Amino acid sequence: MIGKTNANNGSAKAFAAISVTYPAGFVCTCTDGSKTLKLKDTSGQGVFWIPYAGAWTVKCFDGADYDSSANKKSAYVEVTSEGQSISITLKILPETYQEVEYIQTTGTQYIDTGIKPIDSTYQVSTKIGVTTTEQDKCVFGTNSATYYQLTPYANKWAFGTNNAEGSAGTYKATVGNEYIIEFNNSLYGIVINGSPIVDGLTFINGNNSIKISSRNDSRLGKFKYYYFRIINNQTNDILMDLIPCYRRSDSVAGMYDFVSGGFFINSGTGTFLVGGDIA
Amino acid sequence: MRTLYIDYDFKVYTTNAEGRMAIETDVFDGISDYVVECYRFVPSGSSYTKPNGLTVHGEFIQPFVTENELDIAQREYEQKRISELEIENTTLLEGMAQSQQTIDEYEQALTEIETALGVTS
Repeated sequence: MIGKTNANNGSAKAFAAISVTYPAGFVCTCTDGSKTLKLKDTSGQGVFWIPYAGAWTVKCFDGADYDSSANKKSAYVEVTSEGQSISITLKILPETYQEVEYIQTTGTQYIDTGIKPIDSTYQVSTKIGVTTTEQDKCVFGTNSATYYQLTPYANKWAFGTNNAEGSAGTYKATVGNEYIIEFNNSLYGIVINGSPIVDGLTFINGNNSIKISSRNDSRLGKFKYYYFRIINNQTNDILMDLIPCYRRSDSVAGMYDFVSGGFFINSGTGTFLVGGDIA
Repeated sequence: MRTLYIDYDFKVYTTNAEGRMAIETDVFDGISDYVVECYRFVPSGSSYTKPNGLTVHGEFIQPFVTENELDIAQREYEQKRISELEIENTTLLEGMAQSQQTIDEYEQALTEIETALGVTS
């Protein structure tokens, strides 16, 4: 249902809505190149009522305009259908970090999140890119007596839990393929690119912390990571919200956690490859 | 571990040339030459200032092309490899067919000799 607007886009009938969460105090705009909408306040939340379909860009910034601002963030939004409702969140790193498109592991690097999945509520949500035709490399995981892990193996997704190892779905080891993963989703167990591949399994490991691109220091992965979140699948509280970046002072690459403000660097050897800088 | 080469701008090359410095690294193991040459590799102890003024310090490894261009480069490489393998496969099959023909001819000649000599199995 499209209703009252808080953006100054006049009285034209709204075609779609984009709800935005952004840093309070920032200016937030939305443009398709010919028409620009602007939120009336800088509260950190607002809705753009979009007048027609097209490719829109939502921007937030702390200066006079986007280009000259030191702190800024943008996101593309494709508006395709009437009545469409889209939610996006714009987050801005502290100035001491430079955001990048992704960090990439090459078989020697991993990140220790420090979070132990002590019960069945720990969901991992991440987006990865395939960089090699090799398999049997961990996307993430931890293990001791029990398993909490996801690994491409023999063109399927292999996983494990207490006495219930298995594999399901299809993994295509084509370089450039991308997978959006929800692991330990409370309803479906594992969801890959929006489709459940197993039903009802829950994953627990109380002994070790979740490692990105590793399974307790073994089977180190070779993937691109675009983000990595750990979520309580009962309350939807975000426990960890990691995005790839490097520290401007020494160019050390890693992932910044918007929840704790911590910077997580390589616990393995070598150096993360990083994607392009994000303005 | 691979030996690669970087120029004054820290761009990576798979072949040596004047003005390039050799580096040893395992970070590009398993990555195609096409893609390797899309990267900038700033070695430990060196620094590189980007066009936007941001200076990065080694060891720092980042492509200087977009991710899309990187994927295109990798796919072109894979397509080239597929074509090469198809040609190799065709050559092997032709070789096997030739070998089979030779065997058939040999067996036919052997049969003729055995017949001429009155050899029975």
